[in-house]
Amino acid sequence: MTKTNANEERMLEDIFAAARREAPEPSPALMARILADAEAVQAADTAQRAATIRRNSRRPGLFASAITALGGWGAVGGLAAATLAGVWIGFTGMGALGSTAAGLWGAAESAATVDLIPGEADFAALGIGLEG
Amino acid sequence: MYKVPDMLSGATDEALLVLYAQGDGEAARVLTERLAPLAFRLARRMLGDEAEAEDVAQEAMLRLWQAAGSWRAGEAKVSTWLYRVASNLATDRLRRRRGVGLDAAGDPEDERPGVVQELIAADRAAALETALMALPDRQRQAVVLRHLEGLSNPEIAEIMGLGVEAVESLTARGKRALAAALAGRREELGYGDD
Repeated sequence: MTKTNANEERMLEDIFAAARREAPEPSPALMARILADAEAVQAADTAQRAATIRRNSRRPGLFASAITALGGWGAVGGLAAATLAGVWIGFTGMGALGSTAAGLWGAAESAATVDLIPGEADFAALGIGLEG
Repeated sequence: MYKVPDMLSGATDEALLVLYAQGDGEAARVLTERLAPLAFRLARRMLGDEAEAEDVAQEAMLRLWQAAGSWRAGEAKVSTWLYRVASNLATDRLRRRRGVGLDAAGDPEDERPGVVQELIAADRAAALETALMALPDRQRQAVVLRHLEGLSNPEIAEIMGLGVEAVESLTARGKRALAAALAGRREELGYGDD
């Protein structure tokens, strides 16, 4: 098949240029319909986003539910303090409890004055015999 | 009353689409003015029918609005994406008109007899439209995108889902067919002295 010759090329280019100048244009009514579609899709998206935000703010997350189940932030604070104290005692060990206690209640109170394991005298004071 | 200057007219299509997805009404207006004519022109020239072209343009633009929220930056030019959607919608309509697939129909001969006799319009643009409508669909699409919409061959390849060489071949065959169809009207169209 032959290629388009120079004359044909010139004629086609000229006709293409005329067609570009005379390009069909969308009517104002079509433009209005397209813009109305744009606004409708936009409004639906915005409404959907707002609904999602509302839903998320109404429904507490798993973490918030757990805090509530434990009795609120006050209770969680107490639990955390108790846990930390347990860890500390675990690290220092029972043998060093005396020095731990000294650290807790001040140097004036020696470990000797904090008798955590009751002795015979204590039971005697309570009127309980250790034997018999 | 003081009017806010049109700050968005210089923004890229992609930037406008992001603004649109964020709820900016002005971005919707600028995108409509900028892109709806592309979709309409292509559909009008592929289908040769005003009402059908309007439907295609509106549907293509609706798909753009719906895709805005999940648009992935840098993946495709917005205009190329829109041309592709409008092309596919127009092609679907052409298939429905015939009731057979394009592949099954195949490309008819380039220089079909009778085309010149079918040219009834007096001016060049109308003569071209008539000749364009006589082209096989894919040739018409390639010629319109290349010579009337002014796109590059790689862009057309992306829109049509073809290689660049296939686009070049379609465009060349389309031009030959147009030249043949218009040859009998050279004098009438003002080219009698060549």
